Amino acid sequence: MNSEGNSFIQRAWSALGSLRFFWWISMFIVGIFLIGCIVGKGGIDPGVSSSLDGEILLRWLTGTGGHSYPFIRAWIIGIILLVFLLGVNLSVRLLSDIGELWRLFLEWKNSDTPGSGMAMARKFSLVLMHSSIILLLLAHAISCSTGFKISGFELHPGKIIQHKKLPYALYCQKIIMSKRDPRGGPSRPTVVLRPMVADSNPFMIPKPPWGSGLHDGYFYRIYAEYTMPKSEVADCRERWKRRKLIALKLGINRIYGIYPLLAVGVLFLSGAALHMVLRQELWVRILMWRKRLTFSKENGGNKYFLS
Amino acid sequence: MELLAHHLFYVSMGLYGLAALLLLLSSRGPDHSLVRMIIIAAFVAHSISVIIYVAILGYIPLHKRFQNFFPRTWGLALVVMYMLPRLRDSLLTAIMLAGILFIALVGGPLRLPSEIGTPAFFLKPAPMIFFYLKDASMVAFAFCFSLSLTRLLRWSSDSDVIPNNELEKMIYSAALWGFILFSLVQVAGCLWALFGFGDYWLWRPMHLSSVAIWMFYAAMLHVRWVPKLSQRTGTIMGILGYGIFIWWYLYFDYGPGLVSFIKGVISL
Repeated sequence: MNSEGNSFIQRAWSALGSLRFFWWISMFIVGIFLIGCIVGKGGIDPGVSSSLDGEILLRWLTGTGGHSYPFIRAWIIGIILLVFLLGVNLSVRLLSDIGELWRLFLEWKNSDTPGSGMAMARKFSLVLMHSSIILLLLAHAISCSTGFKISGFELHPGKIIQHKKLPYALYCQKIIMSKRDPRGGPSRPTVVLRPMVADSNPFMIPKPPWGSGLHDGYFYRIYAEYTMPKSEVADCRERWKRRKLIALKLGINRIYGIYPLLAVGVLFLSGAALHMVLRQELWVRILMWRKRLTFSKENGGNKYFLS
Repeated sequence: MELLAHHLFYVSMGLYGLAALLLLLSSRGPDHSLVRMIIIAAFVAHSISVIIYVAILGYIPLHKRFQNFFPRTWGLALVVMYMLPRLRDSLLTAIMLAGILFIALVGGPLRLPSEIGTPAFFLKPAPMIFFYLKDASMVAFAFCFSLSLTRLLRWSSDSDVIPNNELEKMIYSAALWGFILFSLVQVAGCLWALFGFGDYWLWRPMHLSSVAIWMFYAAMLHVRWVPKLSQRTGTIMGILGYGIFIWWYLYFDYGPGLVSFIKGVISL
C-alpha cells in the first residue's frame, strides 16, 4: 500500500512538473488572453477596464465591480487558476532542477568530467530564469491583493482631495498645461499638489527629474476621462455635448510588489543573458575574441576564466 | 519624390518575392549569384525608398499602416537576405544586430508621430527604447518565421546548403533571441506604464496580447523537450507565433490600439 501510495505521489509529482503540462498550460494561457483581447477590441464597455484599472484586482473581484460584470469576473478567475497551475508547475520543476544542479555541482567538483561545468552553468541559468518567474508570480499576487487604488478625483485649481485611505488631504494648487512636445506628441499636464498638513511643501506630478508619479510611497496617476455632465448639459436635446466633457482626473495607488517585480525582471534577464553567453552566440564569441568559454580545472586552477 | 519612393518600394517587394521564390522552390538550389544579385538590388531600392520617405515626412513613418511597412519590411528584407546561400549560422546574430542598429540609427534622431505622447522629463526616451526593442524582437521573430517556413516546405527533403538539423537549431536560436528581446520589451513597457500611467499593468487588449505572445514563444522554446510533440509542432509554432505578433503589431499598435489608447488616456 505504501509503495503504491509512493508511486502515485511520484507520478503526480512528475506530472505536475512535466514539460508537457507546462506546454498545455501555456497554450491555455495564450488562448484565454487572446480571447480577452479579441473580445476587448470588439468593444467592451469602457467602464470595465476603467473600473479594473482603478481598483485592486482582489477587491474588484469580490466587490461591486466583479458583481456588475460576471463574465469578465469568470474570465479573470480562469486566468488566475491557469497562472496558479503555471506557478505549481514551475515550482515543482524548480525543486527538481535544484536537486539536479546540486548533483552536477558535485560531479564537477569531484571529477571535472568534460562538459560537467558547462552543464552545471546551463542548469544554473535555467534555475535563475524559472525562479524569477515564480517570484514574478508571487509579486503579482501581492500587488493584486494588497494596497489600494483609488481614482476619479476631478482636478481643478483649488480642489481639495480627501479620502479615508490617504494619510492627508491634498490641495490642488496648480495645473500646468503642457506645450506641444518638440518631438511631435502632446505631453502630459503637470499638477502641483500640496499636502494639507503644517509645514508641508508642494510637489509636482509628474515629478522632476525622473517624471515619476511616485511621492511619499504613493503613485499618483493623472488621466483624462469623460466626466459626468453638468445639469444644464444633461438636457436630452443637447445630449451630444456630453461626449465633449473631458476632465483631468487623479488616481492614487499604493501597490505593494512593484519594486520586487522590477527586481525579478532584472533577475530573469540576468538568467537569460547567462544562458545566451553559455550558448556562445556570435556576439559572445566576438567579445571573447575567439576564445571558447570553458569551465576546466586545467587552467591554473581557475575554473571561471577562459581557456 | 513620394511617388518614386512608392515605386521603389513596390519594385523591391517584387524582387524580394522573386528571389525568395527561387530559393524556396528549387530543390537542387538556384543559381546563387543570380539570387544574390536580385536580393542586393531589391535591398538597395528598398533602402532608398525608406530614406526618401523619411526625408519627405521629416520623421520615421510609423503612424499609418502602409507607412509602417517601410522600415519594418526593411527588417524582413534582412530575413530574406539571410536565406541567401552560403551564409553561415553565425551570421544570424550579425544580421540581427545590424537590423537593430539600423532601427536605432534611423529612429533615434527623428521625432515620433504626433499621435504618440511621451512621458515628462528624463523618461522621454522610454517609449523610444520600447519601440526599438520591439522592432528588434520583430526582426528576430521574422527570422524564426522565415526559417520555420523554409523547414516546413522542405519537410520531406534535405538541403546541402543548410541541412535540416542546422535549420532547426537556427529556428530555436532565432526564437530565443526574439523571446529575450521581447522580455526586455515587457520590462521597458512596464517601466513606461508605471511612470507614465501610474501602473505597470492595465487591462487593455494591447497588454493582454503581449502576454499571449510571450507565453506562446516560451512554449515554443520548450517544444523540443516535450515528449510526444514533434519538431514539426515547433516549426508550426514559429509560423503561427509570427502571425500573432503581426496581428498584435497591426491591430493594437499602430491601428486603433496604441494611438487611441494613449490619446484617450493622456490627451485633453
